[in-house]
Parts: sequence; structure tokens; C-alpha cells
Amino acid sequence: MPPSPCAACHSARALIVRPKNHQKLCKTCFIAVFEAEIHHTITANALFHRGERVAIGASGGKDSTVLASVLKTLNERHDYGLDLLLLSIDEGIRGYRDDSLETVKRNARQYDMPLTIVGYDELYGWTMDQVVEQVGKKGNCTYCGVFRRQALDRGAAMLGVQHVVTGHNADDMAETVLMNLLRGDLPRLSRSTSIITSTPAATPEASLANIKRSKPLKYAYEKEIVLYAHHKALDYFCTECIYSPEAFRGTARELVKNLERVRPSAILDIVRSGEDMARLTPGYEPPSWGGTCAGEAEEEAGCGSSVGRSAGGEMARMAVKLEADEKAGEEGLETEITLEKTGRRGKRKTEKAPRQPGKQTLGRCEKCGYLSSQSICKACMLLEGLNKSRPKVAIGDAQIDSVTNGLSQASISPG
Amino acid sequence: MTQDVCKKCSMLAAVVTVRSDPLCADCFARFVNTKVVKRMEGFRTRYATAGEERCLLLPVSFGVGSLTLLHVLDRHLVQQCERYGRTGYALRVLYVGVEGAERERLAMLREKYRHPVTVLPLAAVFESADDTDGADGVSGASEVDADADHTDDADQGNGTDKTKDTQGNSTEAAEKLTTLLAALTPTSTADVISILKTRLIANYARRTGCEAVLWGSSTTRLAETALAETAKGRGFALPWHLADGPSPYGVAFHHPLRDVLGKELTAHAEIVFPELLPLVAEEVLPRGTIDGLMRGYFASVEESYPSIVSNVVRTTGKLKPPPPGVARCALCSLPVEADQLGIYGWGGDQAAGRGAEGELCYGCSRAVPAEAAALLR
Repeated sequence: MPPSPCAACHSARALIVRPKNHQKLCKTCFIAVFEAEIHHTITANALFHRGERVAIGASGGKDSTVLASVLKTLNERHDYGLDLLLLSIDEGIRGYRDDSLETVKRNARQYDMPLTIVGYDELYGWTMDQVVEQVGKKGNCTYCGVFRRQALDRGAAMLGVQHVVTGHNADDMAETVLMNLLRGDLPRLSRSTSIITSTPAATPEASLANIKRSKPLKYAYEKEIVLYAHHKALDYFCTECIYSPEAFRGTARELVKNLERVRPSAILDIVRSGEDMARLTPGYEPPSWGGTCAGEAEEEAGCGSSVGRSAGGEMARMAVKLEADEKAGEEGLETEITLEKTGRRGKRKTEKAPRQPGKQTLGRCEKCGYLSSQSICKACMLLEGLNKSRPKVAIGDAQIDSVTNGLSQASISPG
Repeated sequence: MTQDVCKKCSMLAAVVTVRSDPLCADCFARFVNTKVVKRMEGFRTRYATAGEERCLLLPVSFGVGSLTLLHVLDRHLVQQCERYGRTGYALRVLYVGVEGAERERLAMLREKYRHPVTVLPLAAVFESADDTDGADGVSGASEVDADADHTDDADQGNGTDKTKDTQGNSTEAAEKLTTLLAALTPTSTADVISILKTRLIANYARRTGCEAVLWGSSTTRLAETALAETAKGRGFALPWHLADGPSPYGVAFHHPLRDVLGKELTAHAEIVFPELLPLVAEEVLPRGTIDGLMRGYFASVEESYPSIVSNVVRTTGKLKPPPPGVARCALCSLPVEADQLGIYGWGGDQAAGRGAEGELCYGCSRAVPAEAAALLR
């Protein structure tokens, strides 16, 4: 079989079959097409404005490395006029994060971008190694996930940056759409499909709010990101979180991969469905910038580099909760049915009332000022639990000061 | 391990576990009946005007869902007759396929249940008569009068000219269907066949004056549909696919078995009407199709986490239908905004320069190549 010519330039030999549409391309054209597509996503969605200072959430993994590389290339090629910098979160997991951060440090030198590393110990007073020591391996993902969700925003606030970009790709988005359908989480389905989200504040001065998040790689396939990194010889780190190896075996992820095998466009098709369904969600309002788009910061990328990957036990935990809800619901219905004197309409009305999904009211945490639907945000509650269990030794006072300092720093609004 | 006693009656031995409750055969049958009858509240005898019988169409695929529904509703009608001397509705049964291939099953069906059974070939969806007959009272009346034991195409009661026209239509439609399916991938073939069946069934229901179509979909099947349509790019269509009530096809859709899991239907069939098990011919979905993947996926989810299956259906049931669009997809007939036709012009289309185009919704545009789409006009 003779080698196929590139479908784009028709001259060079095709070396790459695009995962997205099985188009055959040469190396040069693949890189050009990939970059052109990211550029189109950026301009079509007006992600940036000239002079904007943008922090790239950098983990050392392939997604954030490709994101940093592409943004640098496009910023220079198309003169976006952006001030780009790298922002990394150090969870404090020896043997995993310290190695990946070495990769980010090299990236910072290669791309000539300033790098800031913010540690969990700096923000919360606890490293994940210490958390695991305290609570054990089981359940530590909950702590890490909750802390991580806020950490990028807190880090950006410390730097006075108003825009954070993350490396969520199309596979992550598809996985999130399916997971939210399985979880029955419509509000999150709506938020997770947006390419831009923000955490508006009641008062514009508060620095922990008004931080914009965007995902320039939202429509890029994970396989193409890997191919791009490979053909540009990018330096990235690849391993699993040592505390949560199951994180890579989420059920929705496997389903997405199988669907992609059957029909390559399925990943984008799911993303499209997610966007369409978001519009069908009760109470949905179209995203508008400068408007009152309220939304909890979407889940940060999970262990590794992919959002939506669930720990192995998530399906089981969901099932238990749903079963309990269902039993309560049925008992409620049975109670209502026995009310013989109630007319048919009356029954229907009483049945409907408890089914109304509770609307989420977003306020701010009393302790740290972060956006939260509770009076105290989850991270502060978890911290409180951890601190109560902390052994009281002489060094304890210093640790408490560290926590206070971390929070204080997060609250400072420079500039 | 000691034999479980039925949770409800505390007397007989349990033969099946439903949502962690062990049940005996009688209580289990009552459980399924109750779920269905509750969904049929709107068709009780008190709502039936004397002499004005409400007709409901029940498409039978010989899957366990549609057969169970037929059996339960048949019992329901007998019960209504015994208690109130009349029924709240009448059933009409439709099978989409070739009569010859299912002759024995259809014979058993007609023998066991006394409802009129019609057989239509899938290609009938392309016969131009389908669309015009919708507004034609004469053809509608003719259809109702047709002998239930004959397929529409075999009806010889009309004049020679009409017979000739009908046959010409059939041949042309069959060729069209063959050409269309030949242009598709396996996953698209399964998808398109399912869509065309839905259209045909809805058209037939409308034409014969049926008030609603009763689908035999279990909770599990609805959950499969939700995720499969999502994966095919038809997220906008989920409200139409899963909700009970009015549909864009001009006839109401209902899913009376929506509260029963697929595995519960299988257990029910084995217990309640084992003599009909030879009738069951579950559709085999290839593993290499989106529908097949979802079938396999939910079979395992259902086994381990049945609450999640129910939750998916409940969640998608909360989505509200989009405002009626100006355009309609040429394949699935669902309302679409004009700027949402085709696969271009949205955020995920990263090639600049092309806007919405064509006559198919996003999902159908993925399923049917552009050259084959011309067949749908």
C-alpha cells in the first residue's frame, strides 16, 4: 500500500491520522491545524482581551504543558497582547507532585514565563501527606478535591490575576457531561459545559471573587493533545497520584473511550449535547460577561490531569444515597396515598411540593470569603476537623500562625 | 442461608428481590401491575365518555418490555370490564417488520390477546401516502375498518388503480430505504432504523386516530436512550425522547413501564407468563454501536447500582423542551432552531467559515452522510 499524501498540503507524506476525524496529515500540517483550531476557539469565544494578565494552571501534565506552549505560540503569532504566567499548586505529595513541579520549573524556563508555586501547606496549613497521615488513604481524595477546587483561585488572588486558564480538554468535558447525567446534577451540568465561568462577588473589591476561568482546549481531543506534545517534543510529566490510583479508572472515562472507538466524533457530540442540555435546564441563564453569571467554580482537574475522573467508590456511594432517597420518597408517597379524604388534585399538589429541586443560593464563606452555598465553605469545615485532631505540641502554635497567615495572604488584594 | 420470606405479605417464600425487598411471585406481579396502572391514571373508566372509546397504540417489538406492557394492560382492561362494565381505552397493536418472518409470534399474539394487530414494513415510512393521509379522513376511516388480520399492504379491498399506486409506492419506498441504509456505518444504521420506526409508529397512530403511543420502555431502556442520544449529539432531544405527554409528532407518548427496571421485567416475564417466553425476541445490538455500548453499560449499572439508573431518568425528565423551532429535522422530525442545523457553526466546530446548513439536526447530520441526506427530502 503506497503512503498517503497529506490531506491538507497534498505533498508531504501523511504520518498522523487525526483522532477527531481520521483525517491523514503530515506533521507540519497537523501542528498548524491544531494551533489554528485553538486560535479559532479563543477568538470565537472572545476568551481574552488585550493587556489581560492570565495565569495558566500548570500541573506539569500534558494538558497544561500543551496549553502553555500553544498560548505562547498563539500570543506571539496573533499578537493577543497577553501577559502570561504559570501558576502551580503543590499538594505536598512526595514522590508525585515534587517531581511534576520540576517539570513545570523547566517549562517556565523554556517558555520564559514567570512561575508561582503555591502549596497546600501555605494555603491551608496542611500538606496532603499530612492529611493522609491523619485521616488515612481512604477518603483523602475528598480533602484534596475540596482544597484543590479553591487553591487556583486563591493563588490567582494572591497574584492579583483575574483570569485563570486550565487545560480541560474535550475528553474531560465529555466525561463530565456523562458523570453529571449519572449523578443527576443538572446545575453542575449547566456550569460544566461553559467554556468561561466566573465567581462574581457581591462587592467588586473582594479579590477571591471575580476570577474568570476559561478552557481554551475545551474542544481539543486528548489524543491530539498527546500527538501535539509528542511532535513538538514538549517536556511533560506523566504519572498517577500515589494516593489514588483508582482515579484513572472512573466509569464514565471508560465509557467515553469506548464511544470514541465506535464513532470518533462521539466526544465532541457529547460536548455538543451537554451544551444543548444546559439550555434545557430549568433556571438556565445564558452566560454573559460583566453580567450576573453566578456559578460555583467548576471542579478542578482531578488527580493526574483530567476533570471528572471519579474515585472508584463513587458509583457505590451515589447508589447508597439514591436508594435512601428513593425509600424516603416512596414512604412519603405511601403516606400521602393513605390520606383517603384528600382529593386527587390535593394529592398531586402535595406530591409535587417536596420534589422541587432546592435552588442553590450562593453566598460567601464567613471565614475566608470564598464563594459558598453554606455559611462556611467546605474547605474551612474540613480544616476545622483536621485542626481539632491535630496533636497539641509546642510546634502547634507556629502551625496555627501559618494557617492564619495563609488565609490573610489570600485575602490581601494587591493593586 | 435461610429462604427469605416475602417482605410484603410475610407469608410466602420470596422468589425475587426488588430494590432490596424480597418478594413472592404474587406480590411481585402486583408490584409491576401497580407501577403500570399508576401511570395509566389518565385512562381510567371515569374519564371515558360513553360510546366514545379512546384508542391507544401499543407498538410491539417482541421485546420483553412491549410484551409485558401488552399483558399487563390486557389484564387491566379485563379488570375494568369486570368492575365497571366498560373500559377506559382500547388497545391497537402494531408490529414494524415483515409478517412472514414473525408469522408464528404474530399468530400467538392474536390468539392470546384480542386486540387488533397490524403489521407494517419499515419502508412504509417513506411512502408519500403516510404524510398526506394524516389529514385525510377517508383513508383514516378506511384504515380503521381494515381487517385486523391483514397487513395494510395486503389489503385488497380497494380498487385496482389504488392497489397499483400503493404497490408502486411500496417498491419505491423499499428501494429508498435500502439505498439509505447501505450508505451508513453500523452505529448509524441502528440509529436511523430506530428513528424511522418511531416516525412510522407515530404516523400510524395519528392516521388511525389513536390518542397516544404506549412505549414498552423500562427505566433501564430510558436511561440507555438518554446517554445514547447524548453521545450521538442529540442532547436537545432528550425531553422529547423521555417525557410522557405531547410529542412533536402530533400524538402523545407514554411510557407506562418507566418505573420498572429491565431486569425486573425479565423476572416478571419468567414468573407471570412463562408460556409466552418463546414469544420474546430481544433485539440484539452489536457491541460496535453506540446503542450497543449503552445497552451493555446499563446492564452492569443496573445490576450493581439500580438507583443510578432511576436517577438518570429522573434527571433528564427535569429538562424542559426547547421552544418550538422554525425548522424540523428531515430525518427525526424533531423541532430544531434553524441556526442549529448541521454540524457547523457552533463552538466545537473549530474550522472557521461555515455556519448552520442542511436539513438535519446535529445528531442526524453525524449519522447520515450529506450525499445520503438527499434521500430524505
